[in-house]
Amino acid sequence: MTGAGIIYQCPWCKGSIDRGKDYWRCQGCGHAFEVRRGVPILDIGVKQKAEHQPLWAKSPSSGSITVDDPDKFLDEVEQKGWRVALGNLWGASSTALMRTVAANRVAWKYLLDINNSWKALDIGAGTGGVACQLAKECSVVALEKSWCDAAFMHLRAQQENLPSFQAIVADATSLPFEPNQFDLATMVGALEWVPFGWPEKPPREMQLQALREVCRILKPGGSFFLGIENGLYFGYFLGLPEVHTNIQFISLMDKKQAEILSQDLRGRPYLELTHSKDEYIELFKEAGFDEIQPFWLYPDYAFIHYIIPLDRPNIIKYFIAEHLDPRDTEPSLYRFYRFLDPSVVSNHIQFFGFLAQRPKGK
Amino acid sequence: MISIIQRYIYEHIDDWPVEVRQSRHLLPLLRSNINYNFVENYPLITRVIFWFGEGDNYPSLVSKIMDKSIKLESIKRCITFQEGLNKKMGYPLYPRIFDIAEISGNIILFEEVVKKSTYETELKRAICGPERSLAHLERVIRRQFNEMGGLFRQLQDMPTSDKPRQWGEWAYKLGQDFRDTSGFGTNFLSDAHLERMRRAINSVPLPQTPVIADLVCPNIFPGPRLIDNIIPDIDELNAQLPGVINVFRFMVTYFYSPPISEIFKDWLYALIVAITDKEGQTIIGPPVRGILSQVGLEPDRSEVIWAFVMAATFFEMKDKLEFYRESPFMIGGKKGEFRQWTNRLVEIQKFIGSNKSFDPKPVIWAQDSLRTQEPPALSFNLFKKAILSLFPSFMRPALIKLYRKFYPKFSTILYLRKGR
Repeated sequence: MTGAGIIYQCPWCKGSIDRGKDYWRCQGCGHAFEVRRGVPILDIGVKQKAEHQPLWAKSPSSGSITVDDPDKFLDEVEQKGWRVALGNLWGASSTALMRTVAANRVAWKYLLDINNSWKALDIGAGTGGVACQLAKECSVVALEKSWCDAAFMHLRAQQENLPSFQAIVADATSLPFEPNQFDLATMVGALEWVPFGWPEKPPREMQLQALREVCRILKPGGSFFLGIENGLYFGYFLGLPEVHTNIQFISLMDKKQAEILSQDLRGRPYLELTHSKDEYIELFKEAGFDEIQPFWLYPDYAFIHYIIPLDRPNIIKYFIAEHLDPRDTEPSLYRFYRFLDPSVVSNHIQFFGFLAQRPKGK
Repeated sequence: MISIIQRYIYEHIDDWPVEVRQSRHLLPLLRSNINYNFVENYPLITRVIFWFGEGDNYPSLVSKIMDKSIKLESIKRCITFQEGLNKKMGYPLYPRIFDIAEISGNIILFEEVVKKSTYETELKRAICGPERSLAHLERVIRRQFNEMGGLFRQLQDMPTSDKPRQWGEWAYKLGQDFRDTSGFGTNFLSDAHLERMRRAINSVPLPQTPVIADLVCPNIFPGPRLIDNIIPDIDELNAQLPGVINVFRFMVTYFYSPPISEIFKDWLYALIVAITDKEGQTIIGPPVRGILSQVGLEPDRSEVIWAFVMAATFFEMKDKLEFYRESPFMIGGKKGEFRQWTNRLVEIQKFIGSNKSFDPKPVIWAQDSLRTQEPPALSFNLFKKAILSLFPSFMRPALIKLYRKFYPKFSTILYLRKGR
């Protein structure tokens, strides 16, 4: 499993990399990157206490594998198979496990013309919910901050017989790839976690840096799909806790107020930043993307049932009238959707999907 | 892939009878079948794209991305069957398919749009929407059963065999096959139960008539206009099944699927109450008895009707077990659910034999939740709220959950046991 034809570069000095069995070494600065259980560790982010359990893995919504002894867990994955091992860890019918296998998680692939010559990069790949499914159709590099998750994906890909798959540990803000290589990059439920690698830096800046990096490694005309929560979701106005922080109203607040509230309640900064539709579009533009298309991923980005273009009020109106399921939605939210103007609704839905392109001429 | 399909449409749309305001600027709304999530490699799954003209409030065209395992030959056979049925019916029962194309290794169908809400959407609005009310639900159920009854009656008038047949052996074998597939033992579903079902069905010889392939009623188009009605073995299905199974598969799927199942949690009990509800005490009695009369079955012969319900439920359960066979995440839960259903089918069969009547009160109470204009998940009267207030607040959600889980079943079991 090589991630066919991808050219790596040193995340520190951008030099070329020699790939060995146990270490990858930079020809420029001489930095050696360990290859542990088949997974190269090319991370330059802040070292966490335990490398395999980064800070965000503690969040219940992160979907990351949190175990005391990763090697023991990975041995179990090797011996019993990944489904059984993950089932033992999370529960055989847990939502987290279903998220890992849900085929509809990549339903957005129909928006693109993927073929087997494509090279795709999945950033924040978790346990491979997106990456392993994409790897059935094209070459995939799955990038994770957590070594345990990356090593798990490496084993999963072996067991699923996915030859064009490479899992690596790296930081989204300094991608270890030469420019202009990928046809597709994806970040599904990952951009909001990027600032965790850099807690002392402004979170929006780090998110922007990650998007700039994505734009750099994409081929001109290459596509980027982002799946992410809306900071201005209707439910948050009604008092539903923000999903990443479990704190009410935090994503609606002024950033300074939100920071104070986060410190008061959790004793740590507010890093898991989500934005409004227009703010995401602004981020994309600043990062250098164009042809940005926003979509409503319903009911969420893990179990996509509908993909609705958000720039067309007539389609939103039709979807709400004919397909929106009142049983999937809080009654008060359902009433908002039914009775408000579709253009207002489009700003307050829960899950966004954005499809953007790196400009062809650049 | 969508852009390739879009290009194909632009090249061909002038040849199809499609009305679009701007036929060169179509926009997609993509719908994926959610059952696909945990069931990989099942051949019947489709992805549907609704195409909208610029500013149009309704889609103008539907394209369906068929699973790669479905071969063009099977699709053509299904289309021939559908077109034949449309011709016989004198109106397009199935949506017209304008074109079939192979794009990026997938077969794509291009179909007309039926500009009506689906049965499921209508039911959701009547039960869970802001416009919910008991009267609204009653109207919707009555109309939907009436429409489907008319359709089934027309199908009944198109016999494909010369003389009526006894279908008891078929039902008996279906029950045995289901028992083998599910792994439920003979203690659970004995030969005696199946034999009783066989005898009851044999007492009503019926002609063979066309079968509707997929009757998962709450679906994307009203009635039989479904998204997944292309199946590889349509001819086999037609050769094996009695046409009357249409009616019972429709009723069974209607009652076990949400949102109806959210009102009538013990749906099999609700169904038998509806079948035996001569006086129209429940909202479901008249439509259910009406559809049976429409296809020439006598609703008062409840043992025969229940035997057909059993056969249709075995058919559905066997089908679902096949569907979820390779899904380690779903199969366990489904088997547990089907064990309960089988148990209930047998209990009710026994009860019918004892000539006692079914008490409609649990069904009336269940439907009465809609009088309060609260959606079913929230319905809870003041008396229960007062009792709950005696418990500490952290215990209340669990108590409500327990109550909702066990009350409907518990109450109907009491009625069955007491034989009121």
